[in-house]
Amino acid sequence: MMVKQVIGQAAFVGFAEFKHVYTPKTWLTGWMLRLVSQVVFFGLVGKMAGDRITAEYVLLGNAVTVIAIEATLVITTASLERYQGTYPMLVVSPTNMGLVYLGRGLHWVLAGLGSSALVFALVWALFRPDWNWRVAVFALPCLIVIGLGAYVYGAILAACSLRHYKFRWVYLNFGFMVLMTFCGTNVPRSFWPAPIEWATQVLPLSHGLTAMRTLAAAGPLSDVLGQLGLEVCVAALWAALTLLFFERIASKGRRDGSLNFTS
Amino acid sequence: MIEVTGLGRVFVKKGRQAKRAKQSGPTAQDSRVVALDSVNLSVPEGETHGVLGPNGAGKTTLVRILSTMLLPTSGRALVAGHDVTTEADQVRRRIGIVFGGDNGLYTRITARQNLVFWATMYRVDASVVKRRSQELLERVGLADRADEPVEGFSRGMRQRLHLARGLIGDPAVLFLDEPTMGMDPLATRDFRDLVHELKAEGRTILITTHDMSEAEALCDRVSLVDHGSILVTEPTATIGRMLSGHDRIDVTLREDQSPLLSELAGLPQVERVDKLSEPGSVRIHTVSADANPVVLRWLLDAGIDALRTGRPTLEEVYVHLVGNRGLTV
Repeated sequence: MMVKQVIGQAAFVGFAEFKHVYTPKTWLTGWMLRLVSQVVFFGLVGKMAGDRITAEYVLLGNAVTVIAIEATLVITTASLERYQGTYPMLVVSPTNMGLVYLGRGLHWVLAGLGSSALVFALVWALFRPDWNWRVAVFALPCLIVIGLGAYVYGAILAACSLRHYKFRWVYLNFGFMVLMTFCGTNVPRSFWPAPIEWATQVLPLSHGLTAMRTLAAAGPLSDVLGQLGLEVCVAALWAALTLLFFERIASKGRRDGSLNFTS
Repeated sequence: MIEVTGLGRVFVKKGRQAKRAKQSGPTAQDSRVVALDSVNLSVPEGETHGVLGPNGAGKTTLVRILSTMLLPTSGRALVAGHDVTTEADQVRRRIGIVFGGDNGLYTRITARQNLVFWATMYRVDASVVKRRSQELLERVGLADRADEPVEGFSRGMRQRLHLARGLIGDPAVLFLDEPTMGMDPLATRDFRDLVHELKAEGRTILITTHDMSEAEALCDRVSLVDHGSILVTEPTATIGRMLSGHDRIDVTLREDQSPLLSELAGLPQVERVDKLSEPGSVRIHTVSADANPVVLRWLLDAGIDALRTGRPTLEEVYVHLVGNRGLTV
């Protein structure tokens, strides 16, 4: 019960802060334009480099990856936590800060869901891909699962960025670049050497994206559900690691004195 | 309620700081900084205890350890019967922390929402969260602004909200780290009134401050800290005895009374006469308490009636023990 309340309260604060991140105008002309440009750019590269199938592969990959990118923005929430001095107060409260962070940046998942859905709609309108209709119907649950997986993965990086504040932007860019590069966004995971391909099994996005591709290719629904199940397992693994990581970061901070009332 | 035995904390400089320390040569400061050195302190239940000292003395380090924000490198500290190192979670359930400044609150949400958030973090039962939040908002005088975002609050209002947040878990021990820092005099007075109320409730309060008048107004006992060590722990009311066992006499002489000064200094009952910063003002130190009536009679007979008697203040004791360093830290 307390877990639900903690996550709920943390999410509430996040949503309250999110209202001040963008105005509708800056979201549309700034963030959305950036995302659409990225997807269109890779889509056009795919079209030039290969055939229609390649282009559609890249477009789907990038449209889905949008939510993963946005979910990792939880790292910026952690930066804000440190900036406003609430970080040490959370550490010395009786609640595990990792639990707080399972909810603290959930607004990024919702924002990512909106961005990803809009990008999907634009891609469909502009490129007319030959995707199965089931993509439109099942995209939402798939994107939610992918978003949550990427979010808890981002929460671990957020914990790291709390400790190494100077590198917060490195963590953010490293975080989503790893997902974009290795999890099948632009090239199949099988393209990479076997150890890397194996490692992508435990990264968020990999299985969720495979599920989406199976949907687009009108593959069996059981395969889709199987991949989504694996994506959920990966998310659970990263969520457990989030709890452990925040504990560890807090312990290190207590030991080396990096926690202060004003930090 | 707070028991500290041989508590020490050493920070090890890293990176550039350590390199700089090494380059300064073997006789220069090494890469270790002793922030606390074998501190012993006992604060009984219900006491308001002040920790005073210059910048960098170790006051905040002590509070950081006691509030489980920092681990000691030696010694032991118990808060509400629990070890801050091995039973941090138990300690955290029993303490409240309030520190000065603008930070530490979620500014995009309202005062009430902040309290509900922190109540949840302090595992306050959901059935009492609303009521306790309202009570605390009324208590700190923020009930009328409870549903406004904190970003529009003045520093004084934020500080009152900090105090309410510190109390949300109904703590037995409250740590106040320079709580009135940057507050205007009226807000400071209101804040002190609130602390008096908490003291009357029997809570144990540990307060760090630079402000001597604050310590005198709030604290039952004070500890003076410097270079990581406690120099003295005394009741606030009697700490002046450290400098003088009896009252001193402060007088202000008119210009035409100046020649009396040498005669005054020559009295057998007078130990010495010190000039004070105010023009014409001097402080007379008598040889004993019995000598005071004799000197007072002499002063009145000489027509000197601008006078007052008093024990050494906390500030005088502080300056005497810590030394007047000016702006040096």
